[in-house]
Amino acid sequence: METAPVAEGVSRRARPKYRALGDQLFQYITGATTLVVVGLFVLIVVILIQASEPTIRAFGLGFLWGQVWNPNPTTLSPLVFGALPAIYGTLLVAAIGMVLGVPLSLGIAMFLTELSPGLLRGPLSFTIELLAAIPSVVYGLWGRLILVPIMATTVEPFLGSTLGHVPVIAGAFAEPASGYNGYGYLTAGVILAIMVIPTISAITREAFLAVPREQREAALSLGATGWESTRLSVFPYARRGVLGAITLGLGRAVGETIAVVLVIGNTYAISGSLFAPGTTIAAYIANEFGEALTFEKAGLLELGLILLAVSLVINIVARLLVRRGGLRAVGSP
Amino acid sequence: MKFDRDFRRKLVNYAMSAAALACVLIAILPLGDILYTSVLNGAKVLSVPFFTQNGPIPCNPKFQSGCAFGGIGNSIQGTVLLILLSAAIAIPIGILCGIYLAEFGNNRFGDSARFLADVLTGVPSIVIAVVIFALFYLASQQGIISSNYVLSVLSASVALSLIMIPVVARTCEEALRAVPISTREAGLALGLPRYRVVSRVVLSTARSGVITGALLAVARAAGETAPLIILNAGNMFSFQPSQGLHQTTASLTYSIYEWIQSPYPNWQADAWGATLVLVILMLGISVGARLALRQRYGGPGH
Amino acid sequence: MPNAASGSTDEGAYLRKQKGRSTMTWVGVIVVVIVIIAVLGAGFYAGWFGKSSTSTSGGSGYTPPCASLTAAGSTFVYPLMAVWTTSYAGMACNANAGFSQVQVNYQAVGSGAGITDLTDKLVDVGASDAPLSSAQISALPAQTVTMPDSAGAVTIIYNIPKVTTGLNLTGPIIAAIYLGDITNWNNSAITAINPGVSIPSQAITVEHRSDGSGTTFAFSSYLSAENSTWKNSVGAATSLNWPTGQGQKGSEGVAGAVASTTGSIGYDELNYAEEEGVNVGIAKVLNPAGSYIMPTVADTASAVAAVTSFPAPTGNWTGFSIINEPGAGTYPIATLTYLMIYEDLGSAYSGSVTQAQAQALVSFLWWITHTGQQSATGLFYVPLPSAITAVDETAINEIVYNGAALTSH
Repeated sequence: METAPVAEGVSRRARPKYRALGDQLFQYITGATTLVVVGLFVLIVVILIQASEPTIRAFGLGFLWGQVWNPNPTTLSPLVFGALPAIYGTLLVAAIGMVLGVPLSLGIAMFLTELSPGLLRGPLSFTIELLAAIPSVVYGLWGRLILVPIMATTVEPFLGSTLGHVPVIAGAFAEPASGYNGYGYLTAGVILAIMVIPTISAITREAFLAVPREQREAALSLGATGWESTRLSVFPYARRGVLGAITLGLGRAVGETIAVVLVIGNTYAISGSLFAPGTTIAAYIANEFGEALTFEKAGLLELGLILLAVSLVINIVARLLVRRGGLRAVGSP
Repeated sequence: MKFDRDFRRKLVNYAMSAAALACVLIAILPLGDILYTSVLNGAKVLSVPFFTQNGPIPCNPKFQSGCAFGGIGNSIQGTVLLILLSAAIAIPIGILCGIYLAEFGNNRFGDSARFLADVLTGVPSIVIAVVIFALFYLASQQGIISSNYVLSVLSASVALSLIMIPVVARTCEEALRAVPISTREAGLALGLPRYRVVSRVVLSTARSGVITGALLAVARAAGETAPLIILNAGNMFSFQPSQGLHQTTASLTYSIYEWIQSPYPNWQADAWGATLVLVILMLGISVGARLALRQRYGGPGH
Repeated sequence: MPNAASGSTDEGAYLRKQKGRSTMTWVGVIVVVIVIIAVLGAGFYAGWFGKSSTSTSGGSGYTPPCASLTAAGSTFVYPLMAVWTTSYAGMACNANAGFSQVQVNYQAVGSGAGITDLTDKLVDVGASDAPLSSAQISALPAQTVTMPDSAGAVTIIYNIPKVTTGLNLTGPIIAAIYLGDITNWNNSAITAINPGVSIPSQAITVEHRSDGSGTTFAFSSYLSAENSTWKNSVGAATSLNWPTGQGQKGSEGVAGAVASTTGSIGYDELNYAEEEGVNVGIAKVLNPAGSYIMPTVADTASAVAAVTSFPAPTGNWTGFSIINEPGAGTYPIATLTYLMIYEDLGSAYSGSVTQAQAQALVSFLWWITHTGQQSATGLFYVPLPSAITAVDETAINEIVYNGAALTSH
């Protein structure tokens, strides 16, 4: 605590005794609030675990690899919840989003730090930031009304007729049973790619800029071209920050709900084809939670617990990478 | 022209530059398309009644006469109410937490709290939504609150505030940390107690940073839909303040979500209008806040 | 306050920067204030601040207390319910405790969600196109009454290039399509019953509901009656393990998906199919009398009128359906839609529903089953015949508050 000497004529309230009390109180109040914030986190985890206990006990580990989600037992099919199709869809859609989004983000970051004329830099980075400001429901609307028809009529048939015949990957580009209708993993992945671009490119840019000029200049002075100097000096130096950026983007992709639910086709099954409809954990919870009776709600909460665990791991890894890379990720979406 | 190694290297250099430029253009393309279609379709329905009337009754002009076109009056009300309620909860808590992290938080507890706050920003909003549902439901079963509040604008606001708190806390902390230490020392040298230094001197100096951080958080909450699907799934009527917070309300994001899945032409047209309004609102808040933050903290290019 | 003049360079620069920043802050604050004022103004227009209830009175008879009620469920009945709730909100009521109209807030979250919300006591009325299943009945904490509030047809909609509306289909064919046995529109079974129609070779995309739906219940009841494989492997319920196809949310989701996906087939209520207009074709379905029937309000009404006996309001309605009713011009896939309400509104909600609300609720129920039925035909719903109105009147009279009877009309 502060014990600076009190000057003559300073207000009585500044006398050490009261000052210490006020300061203590202040520290306690703000500290208590911080404890609340920490407590919120603990609360989320505790409630999820407690509320999903019925299904955890009922299905145990089998929940993770079960493929059927049947809340209405009949004489023909028992009551069983299995999370695999949702987990599969979440990971697949996020992977597509990363595969498409990361190169684009790196290219954007590279352009904005190395290649763009100074005048353009501001407006261009501003424009990329705009991508982050668009709410996900608008992405979903755009996806459903504009992207889905394009995928259905142009992109998917094209990919299916070309890559669908290449030996090893033919299964991924096979025409699904319901035909090319645009609703599926690939469309959801494309939208996710667009949505993660601002996050990944912004932090990657900071990582690139954190590289000391001397590194780049050293490469250039040895006769490297622009690209070579970037490759030799910037990339290795910024590697950790870039990895952190990618992981943060992945965390966002995994949790995205509304843009995915409008374009993914809402089918609880595992399909090899990228064009086939499926579901993700977040989308399935959003669709089913309203009508689920108590036991199914517990199952959906268990799905939420899995999603939380996955996104926690991803976020923790991301934050560690970003911090060690010496960057701040302030107020990241 | 010799196709020697130097030429190849130059070629690769140009190719990479072109590829990077292409990446930028590819990314801007969907943005441009979204803005273009929003403006094109949304502008058709913008009018004064659009902003004041409540959402439309399902109606097809082919079969029914006098189809009310309706508007987003109650949706705007609902969104504003959600923002006000969630900000009222999240901003005080977030600022106090940010103050602690900035002023007293250089210890193990502060480090873990900071880390957890960062991690909290990445929790999917659907998870927070179902957790809040479970919380309110359990509370109503125990008789702590009336079951009217489980699906209500109040529970949705609590969920949104959970999303906002870590964002406000971290941006507030960064804003406070950016105040030079000499300012603090000046205050202390004048004999001000610590809490006055922080609340009167540091906070007001960092005021704009804190406010822009809060605006960012508000923008994020305003754009959320998942918590609303679970907790506050719309209302055809406008919010009646006299009846309390157990009502559900319409909201801009939920209305868009609802209307876009319908076959009614008046609903779909209204969805575009609501999209245009929402996009303008979000762009305004988010970009303004980010620009101000960037200039303050010297982001890329500084 | 710190004196910036004597500060070090960076501090001075920093503090000078703050001046510029603070202008931006004030701008932001002013913008927010303007937005709030604009919203309040809009709210005034939209009737926030206690617009006194004027306009039409409910005719002669009882004026209910003004109240706020919640209902949730079926997307099928949503368009009609929307008209009902807004009309009833404009009718006279006795203002009390800050309420100036009877405001029934209906949320079309799906039949399954409606019953779940009712079970969890989160709403006052649950609306479902399927009567309560035994699982739902055992989950309900108190006795409920079931009353049909409207009826409609489940149509088969399709999107086949160059094939206009009116394609003939039979129950077994539809079941085969939904089982995944028939995958192309020019399958011989379909072309055989459609002489003169040129059906192109087009893969069939099957659309179904992804949420719990009474429409699904009616449709799957029909398929179970028409195809024993379906009955034994999939069955009839609001939520199914679909053998094939993709899920869409809500009645409007299926209609929209069929309209935008070439080669698709879906099942949806008549009003949603009609709203899609020329974007979808509506199939003629073979009825037990041997004719291919185009679903209309009239031929669905004859299906509804053909039913003569109903369970008691508090009795067991499980499995009740009006599929394949006899009659030359009857449409085979017809369905009622129901409202479920707790029999004793006082004890069921342990007091969180007030007497005034209970009064307003039964008054609303009476109105929609009598005057409200006049709005049905214009929206492609079947107005209730007198036999069903009588059932509803019995049901409404059974609703009590803490054992005491309520006035409904």
